[in-house]
Amino acid sequence: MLFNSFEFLLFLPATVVLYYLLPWRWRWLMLLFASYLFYASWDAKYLLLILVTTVTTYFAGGQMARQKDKKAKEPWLWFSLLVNLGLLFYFKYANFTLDSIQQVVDLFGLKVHAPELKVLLPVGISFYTFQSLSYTLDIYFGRSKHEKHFGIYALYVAFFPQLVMGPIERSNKLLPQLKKEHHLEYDRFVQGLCKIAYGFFKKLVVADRLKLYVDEVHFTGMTGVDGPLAVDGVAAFIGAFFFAIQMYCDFSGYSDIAIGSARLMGVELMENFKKPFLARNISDFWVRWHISLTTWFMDYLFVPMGGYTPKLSRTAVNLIVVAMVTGIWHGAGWTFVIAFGFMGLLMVARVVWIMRVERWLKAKGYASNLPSVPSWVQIIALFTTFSLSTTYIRAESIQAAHILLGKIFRPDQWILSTQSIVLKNGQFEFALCLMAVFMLFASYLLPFNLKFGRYSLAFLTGTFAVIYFFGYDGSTDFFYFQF
Amino acid sequence: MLVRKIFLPLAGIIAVIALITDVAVTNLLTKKAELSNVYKVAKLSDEDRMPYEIGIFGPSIARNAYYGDSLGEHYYNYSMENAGLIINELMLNMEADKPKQTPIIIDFHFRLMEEDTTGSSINIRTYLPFVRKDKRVKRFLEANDRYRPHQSIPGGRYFGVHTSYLKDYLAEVYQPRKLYHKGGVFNREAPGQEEFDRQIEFRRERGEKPFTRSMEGSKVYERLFRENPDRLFLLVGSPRHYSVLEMLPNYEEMKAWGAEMQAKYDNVRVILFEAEYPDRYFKDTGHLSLEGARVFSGQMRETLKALGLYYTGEEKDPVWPPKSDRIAVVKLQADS
Repeated sequence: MLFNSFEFLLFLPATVVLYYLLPWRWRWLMLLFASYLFYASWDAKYLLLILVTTVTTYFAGGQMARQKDKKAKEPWLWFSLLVNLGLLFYFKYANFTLDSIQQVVDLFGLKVHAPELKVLLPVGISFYTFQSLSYTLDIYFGRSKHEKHFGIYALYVAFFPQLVMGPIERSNKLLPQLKKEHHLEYDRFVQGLCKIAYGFFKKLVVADRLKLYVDEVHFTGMTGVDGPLAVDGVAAFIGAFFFAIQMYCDFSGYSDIAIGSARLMGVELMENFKKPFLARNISDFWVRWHISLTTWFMDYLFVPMGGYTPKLSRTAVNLIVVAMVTGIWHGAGWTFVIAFGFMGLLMVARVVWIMRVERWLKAKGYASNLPSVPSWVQIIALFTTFSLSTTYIRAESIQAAHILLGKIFRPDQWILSTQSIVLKNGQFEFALCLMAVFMLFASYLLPFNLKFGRYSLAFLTGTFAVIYFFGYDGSTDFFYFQF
Repeated sequence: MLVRKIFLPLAGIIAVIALITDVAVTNLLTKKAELSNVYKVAKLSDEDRMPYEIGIFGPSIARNAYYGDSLGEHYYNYSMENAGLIINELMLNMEADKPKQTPIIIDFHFRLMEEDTTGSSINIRTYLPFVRKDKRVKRFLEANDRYRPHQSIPGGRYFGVHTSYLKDYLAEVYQPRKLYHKGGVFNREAPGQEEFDRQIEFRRERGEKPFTRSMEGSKVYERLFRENPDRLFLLVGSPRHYSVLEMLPNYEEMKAWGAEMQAKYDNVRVILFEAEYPDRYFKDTGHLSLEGARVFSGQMRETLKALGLYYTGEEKDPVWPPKSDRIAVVKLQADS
């Protein structure tokens, strides 16, 4: 059941109405049932995986809570990590690993064929696995207490608004909210509706519209790279920008709908995006983009590895490792590793600048003489760099990404004709893409919390009208589902 | 308070906007844009209209190849872009269901049987106005996983495609480089030689998809031929650019299937046109230009006359000439 489906338009109001009609003590059960129903609409058999994750992390959490000594907790932590990361590996990375082994074997000319496992990637497995692991990790680190009510914990793992695409919540923030009795609050409810409407705007008006252009650029066709071979440098360049915006609107749109849906029931989820395209440097960007995942890796990987240390090489290794793991979390493919590895390198470059170059400049007294780079130049430069790196994320293969990037960086591949810019869908579709981008950036002027007070109805009506007239066929999958 | 201040006014405004838009789109945009595929389905689903009409069905190649007036007064081009097996099946059955005796022309293209299991070649806006009116259309969308419940709701059915209708409408009004004529779409100008050479190079680099003969595809067409013995089916291979034919790996297999159909069914005739046309007769390596379409359609008319297969559509009891053992392969030259 996609958020942008007819079924969800019936499911959400029905769940919210039931939620407020039921006595408080039964609400968790109804929400749990609704969440499982929501997930089962994709494939009921994968509910079993959620149950395994729920039971193992809960059990491990319970066992750890009984131990006072950190050492005694370790076996249970490993148990939880092995079972859940094992499931994640099997369903998401097994074929990728076998493929990679096969490629290495082929390089040596050996006639060995790795088997191909017939497994489908369960929707949202990366998200709910990380959310449930944060529970056991927090208990291990002593940041959270064990939840005594198994039903509430099961709801924490499966809470439908954020089950399949996040935000990845932390137990100490979400569990208390799921236990609390919420009353219908007018302001909060309306704010939730506004958030949902804005999420649909991002998804249907911007992301799905830009997808048409991006798909044409990346069209695989007969050769696997028909699109990349056929387009000129200018279309490849525009395609990179459009994909970066598409990915952002697709994912942040989903997050907004998730946050808004939860808010209708009085539950506050964390913000996952904070206008990332206004970031001025790469560190600033990662504070604004997919915040729930970035902070997850920060808390459970980067910091335990040592985080930022005075030793530059150590910090660089930590940053690169986290970036690569983030890449592989996103997708089982080398294109993701390259894209995120590149962003890791940018982070390292920034750290080198701050820790070495800037210090040296200050020590030599040059720092005050250097001209400051205007903010808008920094914003555009970062946005451009990020967009170009996302070519790897969207490309079907490394070869396809190289063809496109090759065209972008070779001036002889730039043909500035209307046809080479607008591509097959034509001028009208291209104009709609530009309009969608304009509307997105214009919407950055709205208050971030989407509190409109007495103008809420005007906002809702206006957003509905824009979605109704300019939204593209709302049956497209969310891009991040594959993660 | 929530109901009074938000839900009721919002629902009211939404309902008014949606219903007004529905009426406007249905009556202004879909019915006026003659070039659009919606118009073609509307025309085809109206059983009482055009009793003399001879319909031509196929993909965009056919839409660019058959110029109505050069063929005859009652010829109409129902071809649509990306029309492979699933779209042809719907359109041909709609035509065959009519109480008529006119021949049916099917562009004999090497993607004739190409199955699209995802239904992604179905342009949903083409069918939306008919989901409630015509059960065949609803069944077609359901069978191809393209039906969504909102498509049956007035006001909600055009959600997601408003701009597409507007695009069709504007394309018809403000498109000086194209000519729309009896369902055909024709480019007035051919591209420059440089662009042409680029396309040829790309086609050679990419290769060409082979003719795909599938059991399911064959069944669809055979059922059509078998269940409509009173309609003559002309499978016409319209001219392809030489760069296409030289890359097509199994042209002979395609001919063999055509010959098999002609031998098996009395109401099937196959005519393949192999043209040595100059590049200016093409708008690109895949489609004829206006000049090419006019020349070809005139030549096709004369060929059909010579084979005794030319019909005006007004014949009371059309008589079909006896079948030949072999399919007709006709070489065409540029018009002097």
